[in-house]
Amino acid sequence: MSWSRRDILIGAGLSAALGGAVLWRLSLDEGPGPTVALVDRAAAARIGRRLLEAARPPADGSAARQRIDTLIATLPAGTRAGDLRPALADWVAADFEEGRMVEVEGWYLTRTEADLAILAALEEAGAQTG
Amino acid sequence: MFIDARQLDDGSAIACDVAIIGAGAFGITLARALRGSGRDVVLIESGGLDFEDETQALYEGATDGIAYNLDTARLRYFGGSTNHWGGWCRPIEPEDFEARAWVPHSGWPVSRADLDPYYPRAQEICELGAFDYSVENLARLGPPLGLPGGKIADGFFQFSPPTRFGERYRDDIANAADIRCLLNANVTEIVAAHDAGSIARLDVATLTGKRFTVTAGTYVLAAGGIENARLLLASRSVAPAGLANDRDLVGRYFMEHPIFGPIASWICDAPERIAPYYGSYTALGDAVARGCLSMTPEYMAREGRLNTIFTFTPNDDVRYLPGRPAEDGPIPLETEMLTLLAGVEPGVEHTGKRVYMGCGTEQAPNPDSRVTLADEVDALGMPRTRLAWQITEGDRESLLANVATLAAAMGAWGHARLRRIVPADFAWNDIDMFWAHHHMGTTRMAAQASQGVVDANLKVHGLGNLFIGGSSVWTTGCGATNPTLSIVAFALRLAERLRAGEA
Ligand SMILES: Cc1cc2nc3c(=O)[nH]c(=O)nc-3n(C[C@H](O)[C@H](O)[C@H](O)COP(=O)(O)OP(=O)(O)OC[C@H]3O[C@@H](n4cnc5c(N)ncnc54)[C@H](O)[C@@H]3O)c2cc1C
Repeated sequence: MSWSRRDILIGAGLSAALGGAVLWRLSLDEGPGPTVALVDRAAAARIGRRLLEAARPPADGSAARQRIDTLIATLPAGTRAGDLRPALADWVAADFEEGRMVEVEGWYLTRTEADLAILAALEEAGAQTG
Repeated sequence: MFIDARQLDDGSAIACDVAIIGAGAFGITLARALRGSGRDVVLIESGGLDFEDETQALYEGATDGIAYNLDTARLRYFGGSTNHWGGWCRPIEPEDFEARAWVPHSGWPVSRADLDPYYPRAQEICELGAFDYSVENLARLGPPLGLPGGKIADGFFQFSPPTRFGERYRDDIANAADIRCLLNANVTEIVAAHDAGSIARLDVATLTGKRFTVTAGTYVLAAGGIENARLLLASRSVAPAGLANDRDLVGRYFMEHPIFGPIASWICDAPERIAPYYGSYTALGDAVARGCLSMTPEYMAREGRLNTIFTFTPNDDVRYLPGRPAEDGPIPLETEMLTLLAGVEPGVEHTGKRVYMGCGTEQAPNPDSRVTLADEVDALGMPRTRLAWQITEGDRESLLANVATLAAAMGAWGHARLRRIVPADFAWNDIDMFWAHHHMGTTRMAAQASQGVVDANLKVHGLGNLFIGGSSVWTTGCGATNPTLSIVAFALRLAERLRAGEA
């Protein structure tokens, strides 16, 4: 699975609508999508697979994507893929501070990391099947 | 001087000013501190100077509830359980003495300020360093972890060699003109006067069949956290429910410190930030220290939690090689978690550190967790102990919440991710845990006789001349703070009161 401009726009639009903000556009080209923020997508995908196997909510691709979209919508217009990593660090820190954590195999990671890991796993599965 | 009670005449009657039952940390400290006070002290010890099977067998008993080995959890000879204690020491924290709205039955009738004058001397007796447990003191050795969020505090233990009280202070007892230490002498009953308002005498027996009595102006029961309750409950010739037990409090509220080693592991991308004193015994001035983490008072109050003290040991390196699938090490997903950390750069090899974490945790006072008497009797005809140790679901939830809180603080720090090793749905009875051998609560301290067995000065409510020493008087579990340093401090406090004629 890859992230299209449309996906990002829809996600951003949803978030903006929810937040009452002005619709904006993240200038990510078609490509890997927000999982580009991960240092090692393959490693994250392995975490994501375990989350999906555990099959507990919220290990669900659409919910994960929606939450990530909401976060991306908070970034200034014109944010580029390369700028996502520092933003991710901030989201992760905020998640930990607020106790928004997910458990996998006893590990505690943040909601945002878990969402990205799930998306990475789905991307990988998509790449393999399609 | 030492006297082998087996050599006394059967039916002897020994008189003194102060009779102390039990020569462990409390009894030896109290006796030493009373030297030269003009009081004639008799220190009555069940065992001899060395371990003997037959005497140790007097500690055997039955258990309900959580499995517990009553025999190996203490030692019954001169020096008591300090003959095998580990020497981990920390003072009780000020907040532990306070009534906590979220902890039923909490709130001691004394505060940390009442013990503070005695801690420096207690440190010397336990052969520790200066009485300075501040983080600033620790920071002299290097920066503490300082996890963000205000929920996790850095701290440290000091280590006693560990002082074997029975060896270290043997000569003091042997040479004191005003102390007679009766060895191989087992108190079988604390006999109340007929009005049950004071103690009339102690009945004592040897395993060789001798019986004799000790009478004193003041009696101090210091036979250890379980045995104190057993002896009171078994002292029923005048009070059928047991001595000092009109309110059915003796033996209740038994607490321990469950120990998990390990409860968690973490992966850290910045091992250089873990000061060496966390992982090993480190010289700190004249002390030996080891760092630990615990929950802050603010967090516990806000979230309604008990305390947990975490210690840790850095373990193997964990290598991250970009593009190479992780090999399954001892801990699943460990390398993957390493890739999420702040210091790991895309495409760059990185070495992280695996750290194993143990903990001791607090249980809330629980009246149903209790010591009673078994039907069987020991070789002296005394009913054996029956221990029904209980830990509640609330205690479990608190521990798990504290682990998650630590995981969040490490995550917010950016350099570590934590994995809980025990399952979230563990049951106290099934889990692979240890205990700390800290026996607390069975003669708890309270201002009111309706709430506890002894008052703020260790005097038994309603009895004019009986005091109790040791961690059986603990009102709460005090985090996972090891009790012996404070047991010694309380003994010094009682000695001062006895010397001043205030008790
Ligand atoms: C394996 C182990 C490790 C420990 N590690 C630590 C640690 O690291 N840090 C820490 O703070 N604490 C530790 N403890 C706990 C510590 O040993 C106790 O807190 C301490 O010894 C209690 O002192 P006490 O004087 O109250 O009782 P005890 O030391 O138990 O002494 C009681 C004495 O009373 C005697 N006695 C019992 N019944 C009678 C009777 N009927 N008549 C006459 N005498 C009697 C016994 O023989 C004994 O000598 C540990 C305990 C164990 C078992």
